[in-house]
Amino acid sequence: MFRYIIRRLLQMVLAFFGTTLLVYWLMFAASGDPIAALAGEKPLSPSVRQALIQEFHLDQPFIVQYLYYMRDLLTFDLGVNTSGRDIGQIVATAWPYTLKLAFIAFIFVVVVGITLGVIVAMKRGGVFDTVVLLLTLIVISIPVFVIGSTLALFGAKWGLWTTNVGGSGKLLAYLVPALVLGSLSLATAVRLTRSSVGENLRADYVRTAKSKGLKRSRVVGVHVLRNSLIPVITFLGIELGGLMGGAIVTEKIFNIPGIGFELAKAIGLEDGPTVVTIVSLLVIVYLLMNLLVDVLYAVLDPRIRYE
Amino acid sequence: MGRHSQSIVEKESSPGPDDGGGHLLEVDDLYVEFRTGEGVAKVINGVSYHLDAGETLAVLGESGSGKSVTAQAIMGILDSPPGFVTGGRILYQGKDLLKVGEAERRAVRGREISIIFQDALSALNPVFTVGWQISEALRKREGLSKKDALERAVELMELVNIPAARERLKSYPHQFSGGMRQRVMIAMALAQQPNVVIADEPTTALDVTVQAQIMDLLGELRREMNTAMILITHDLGVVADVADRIAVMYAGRIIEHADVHALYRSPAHPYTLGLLNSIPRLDDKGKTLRTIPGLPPNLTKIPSGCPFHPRCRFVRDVCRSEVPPSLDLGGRQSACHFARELLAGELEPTRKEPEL
Amino acid sequence: MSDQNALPPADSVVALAEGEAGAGRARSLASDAWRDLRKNPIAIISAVIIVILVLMAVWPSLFTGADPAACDLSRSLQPPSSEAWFGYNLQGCDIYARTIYGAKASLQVGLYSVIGVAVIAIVLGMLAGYYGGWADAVIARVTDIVLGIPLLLGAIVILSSVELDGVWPVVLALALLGWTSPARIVRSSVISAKGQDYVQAARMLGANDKRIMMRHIAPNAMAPVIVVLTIALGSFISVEATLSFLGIGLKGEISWGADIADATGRVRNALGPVLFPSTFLALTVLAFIMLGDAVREAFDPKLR
Repeated sequence: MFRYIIRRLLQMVLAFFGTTLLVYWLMFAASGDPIAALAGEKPLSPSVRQALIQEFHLDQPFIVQYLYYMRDLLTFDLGVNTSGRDIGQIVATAWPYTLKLAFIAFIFVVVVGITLGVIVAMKRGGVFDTVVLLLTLIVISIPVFVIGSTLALFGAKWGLWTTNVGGSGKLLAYLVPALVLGSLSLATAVRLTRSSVGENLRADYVRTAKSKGLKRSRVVGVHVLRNSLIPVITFLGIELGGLMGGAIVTEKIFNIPGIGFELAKAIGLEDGPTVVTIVSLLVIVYLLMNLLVDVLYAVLDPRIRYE
Repeated sequence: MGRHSQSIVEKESSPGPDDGGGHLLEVDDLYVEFRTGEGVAKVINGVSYHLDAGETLAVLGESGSGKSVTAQAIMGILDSPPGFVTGGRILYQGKDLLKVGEAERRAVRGREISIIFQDALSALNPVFTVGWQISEALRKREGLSKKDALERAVELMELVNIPAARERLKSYPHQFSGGMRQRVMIAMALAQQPNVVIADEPTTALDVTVQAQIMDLLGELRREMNTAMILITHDLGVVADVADRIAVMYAGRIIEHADVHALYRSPAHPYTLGLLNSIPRLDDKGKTLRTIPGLPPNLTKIPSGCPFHPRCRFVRDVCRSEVPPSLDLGGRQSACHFARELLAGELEPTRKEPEL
Repeated sequence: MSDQNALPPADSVVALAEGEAGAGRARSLASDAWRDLRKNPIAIISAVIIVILVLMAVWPSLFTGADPAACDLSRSLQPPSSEAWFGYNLQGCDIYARTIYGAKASLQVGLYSVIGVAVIAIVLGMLAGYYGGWADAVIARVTDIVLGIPLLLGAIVILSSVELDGVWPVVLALALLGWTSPARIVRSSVISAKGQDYVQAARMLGANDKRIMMRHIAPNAMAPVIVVLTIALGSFISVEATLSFLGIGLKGEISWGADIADATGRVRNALGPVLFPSTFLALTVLAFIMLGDAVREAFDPKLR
């Protein structure tokens, strides 16, 4: 177990530097003039220009620039954006909104996804199963922004729910946006749980458990579920990382001033430093979630643990 | 293995195959079908056998002969769909298990009749420790405390000769060797002290050397605990030392049923004869080994008449048209039209034997 | 498995028969799958939708005589009429015409990205799976790195640094980021195909690596790749629309995503400008995902 985690940790560190290097390179080196990439078409005052050169060490070789940048990022010195605002400040203000949104969405996905998945797996082939499968397929097919836009439109037209959440602290206002954010993961979780439970129901050990004279509820609820949830939990862990990134669309539609909202705004303003910083942060979160999932996987599946 | 042949001698005269009522377990005219997209496979077609307290019955047949399906029907763990019991009775202590409710059926499982599966690796739950799995039924059904149940699990693991049992309680199935895993499986089957143990090809998945050890263990435990056993196998070699009687299955039917010695001495069905001839023997040095030509029938299209006729060396016209009834040959039965002639050594082959 | 006893094969004879069955399996599986597909209504519906979409993309004038760029503010937000079936949007453009013309960009992005992904995935997956060793290790690490970037975020970064019109920047971004899971699938199919007896036999008969890969491994590893690429095509179209919705996707093209963004950004009480392109977009993605699903089912009878 220990060796497994160390190995995964080393792989993650490698992936982390590789990924951030790639992001950094794409943002700066891939375009001819890094300043132009940072600032877009906006005219820059010479002082800001000078500040940017200093901040990103643009007078140094590329790899040195990257290392400086990583040092700053890892010490939470996030620097300033093109209009001189402290990016750390922006992130600190925005983070709680995204966290709240992603958390509610995650609860949705876990509770509804697993419950529904188990139910349809038990009634495989029935009408309910077919209907749920069809619905999930439709949800998977409709891009999240379409679901969001449509729900926002209905909400606004008939006054069903708030479409302009803003900085509202009310949990209720987050329900529809969270549902939108989690819709894809929810549908996928249902399908994954269904196939995983379905597969495990046919496993030989189920027959063994039955032969012991255990109740069906125990056979399914303990033996089958414990095995079926391994891939589902793995998926959910990665999704939690992904939900933060996916919040960009939902936050834009429902006007929630979270990380995604700031990212979308920065893209619109062609504010390079903010974009790179936020994306890098999200990548870090994503990678950390992946690591957590690997550890969780080892905890859940003894066959991995003792490899 | 010597002590097993001895044990058969020691056994009080084995009851004849058809002693009438009052058996511990009796399968009576059982029918099972598998309904699949490709059609209905008639997997079990009127199987009857019985088991008395403390004895061992071997059920012999190739894969697909229906021997495991019968066992699953007895346990009530048939996958349904596609499997459906369409007729017959399964009597345990006189009560028809096919007629009782699920709760009563469940009460029989594990406690009265338990089963040892072929592939312990897939039959054991991969995510729970073996201690947990062996003690589970004791906790949930016998009302033992967690500590007592684990204590009992250690005893059971010692009983099946797992070394360092206490330390291995917290190990997972994949950490055991094949033979040790099968021992865990056996310990689990014995946990609730059942009257009947069904061993469904308990050694097929194991190395040859380990096979003998497991068969020895099964025989020993069976005697110690005075448990009746149904030993399902496709290997004539393993049954001789352990079983009292043998039922040979083919295409979902019992085609021959006899005392072990009688069956080995003189088979009363061409299929059994074929099986016996296909066992390599030391004293057959120089002779070619004979196999049974052809394939077992497709169960969605069982041949007319005797289901074995397409592969039979002794086939006659009547075999193609009429299903042979089970002939009583005095303490043994055979479902061959010419069983008496075969026993008397008077049946001439109608086909040349294929050579391997 | 329970079926073990339900199915006829005997222990002794089956071993002999299996050699033959192995050789015939690939062919009969493909033809079985094809027969299943033709009978599967979902596959047929998806195929029909895709054919119509392709027609829209290639000959949009077949479906509409209106010019999607001829916008007239005086018609802003007019409801559907016989003139314009879906009505007019905020700028007074014919929504029906824009929806029809929007198919082209979506399909182009989907198709080109999938071709790009297929090339990268098949080359890397076959190298990793066939040679193993350090090639496999290096490719696995590169896969890890790319997998560390969520598709949408990575595409945002790439697109905000590439200044080009048309579909190519989006195609580039999707192809560069989307090849990881197809490559893993190719790798594992190659590894399992490599272990097959007939591949070993071909090698012993002296066939060289290239011939073994092309003639023996590639055809057998293809089915799961085709499935995953069909589904990827649908999701790439979805990501492209999302990028356009965020304002960094397609530039200078008529795009469903951008039209939906325009319609939701400013109009909060007109349904038409959002619903019509949304429906077409959803149907397109759905068609590819359903087709991929149907193909997967046809190739994997266990799922039925």
